[in-house]
Amino acid sequence: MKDQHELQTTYADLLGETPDPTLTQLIQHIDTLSHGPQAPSSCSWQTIKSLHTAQSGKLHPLHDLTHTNAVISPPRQNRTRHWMRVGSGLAAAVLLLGILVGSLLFSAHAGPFQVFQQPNRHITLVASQHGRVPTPQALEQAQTILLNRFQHIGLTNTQVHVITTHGQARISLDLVSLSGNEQQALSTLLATGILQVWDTGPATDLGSLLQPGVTFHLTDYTQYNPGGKSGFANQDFNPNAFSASKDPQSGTYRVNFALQGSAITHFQNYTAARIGDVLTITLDDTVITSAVIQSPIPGSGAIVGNFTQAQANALAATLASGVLPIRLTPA
Amino acid sequence: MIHSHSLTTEQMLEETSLIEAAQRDLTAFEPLYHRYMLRIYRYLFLRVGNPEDAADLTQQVFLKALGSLPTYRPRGIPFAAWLFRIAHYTISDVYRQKKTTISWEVLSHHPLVAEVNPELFVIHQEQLAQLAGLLVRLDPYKRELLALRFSGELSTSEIALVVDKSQAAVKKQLTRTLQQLKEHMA
Repeated sequence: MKDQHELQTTYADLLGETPDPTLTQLIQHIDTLSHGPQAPSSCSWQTIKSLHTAQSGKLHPLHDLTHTNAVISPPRQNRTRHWMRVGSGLAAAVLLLGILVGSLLFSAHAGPFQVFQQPNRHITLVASQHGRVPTPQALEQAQTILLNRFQHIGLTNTQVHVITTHGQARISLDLVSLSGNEQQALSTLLATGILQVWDTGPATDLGSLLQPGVTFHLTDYTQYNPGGKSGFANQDFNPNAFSASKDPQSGTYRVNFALQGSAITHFQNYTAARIGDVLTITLDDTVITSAVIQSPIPGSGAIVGNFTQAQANALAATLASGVLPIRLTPA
Repeated sequence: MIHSHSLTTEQMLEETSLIEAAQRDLTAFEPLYHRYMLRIYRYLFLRVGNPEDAADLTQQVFLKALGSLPTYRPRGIPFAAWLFRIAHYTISDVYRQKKTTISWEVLSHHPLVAEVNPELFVIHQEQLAQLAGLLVRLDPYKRELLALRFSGELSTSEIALVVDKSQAAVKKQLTRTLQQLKEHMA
């Protein structure tokens, strides 16, 4: 929500020099409603770049085909289509040339984007399901989920294979080498992906606020979580609503979420009944955030942690793609 | 910083330099993408009312923009107006045969730690819900202008270029619409 000064600056043309308080409040409300939606991960630059490349068959440069100052509008669509046809022909030529020199280029240098690099890192992980060898169906499902997770963050050329030998199932991954920051995100992408929301007791209690990264021990908090059950879990969240975004004020990254169905009201009631308690969110029993509930929280919010962009993207991708039916451990 | 006002000369020069760089090399478009993506997405979201369609349309808008970027001339129409014009016509093309809806649901972002008085919070939510109801019943053209002004964060001069009207006509319509909403909210 904007403060009065920011509101006055942003909407000076509508508010005038001596703002009417009712009009100011109305504009504040419209501004709030207009800035609610958060873009999903499918709107990432990596995705757009990949789609553009797939459509045009070229990376760059973009060739200047005309000197007209065209703006896409209905009366000009025929002309746009004409230039698109010309562009397609040129793109095909560029693509052919690209094929000839492409392998040389990519072998000599790192590509402009990781998404276009050839996989150069191999990882093998042991898969288990409730301590046993997973079923073929579970392995196939896990393969699909893992591919979705990597595609979600733009690593579209990651390969995921299932290998079953000597009564042991393994998942083999071929992907591009990631930088230090992104390396941390990789463990999130390979997590089982069980998201749970817990009450960890009154904020005044020592131990109620948990540091991100520590292991969550339910036995310490059973009194606040009847039956040892979490308040909310994956099925209560709208998978399409998970998205990473940057807080323009703090500059940190966060993962936006929204609940779905009856969980929306349940979450509001749950938080309303626990004002002053600490809400802790875990991923596979590891704390990702822990915060004091200061007011009822409606059906949407954000997981605020010390995330890097890569970590926030990885967490959003993992949560949006669903829970793995298997557990992966290093081979 | 979110401002719909015209960019300063320095900002315009910086944006022009980014555009020219992107015209030479697509990779340079990324800062422009991050600058405008959320504004485009929110504008489209208010037009279609669901996140999936808004995301698909956002992709379409930027793919069209990337395809047309070589022909864009920074000294002509401002880049923001050019981009939103693409969005405006993309959605008009897609939804010409469909009934358009605008979602003004209370989807505002609520951090887990909210420094809000619970009573004030409830009143605030009720006012937002009342306003959302009024906005849904507004004339589509008026809603379009509000979506461009508030979600798109465009100035009235930029909106005028998007909807092919004069700046004075856009400003007059926005002022009247706000007055109409104010009377209903009272």
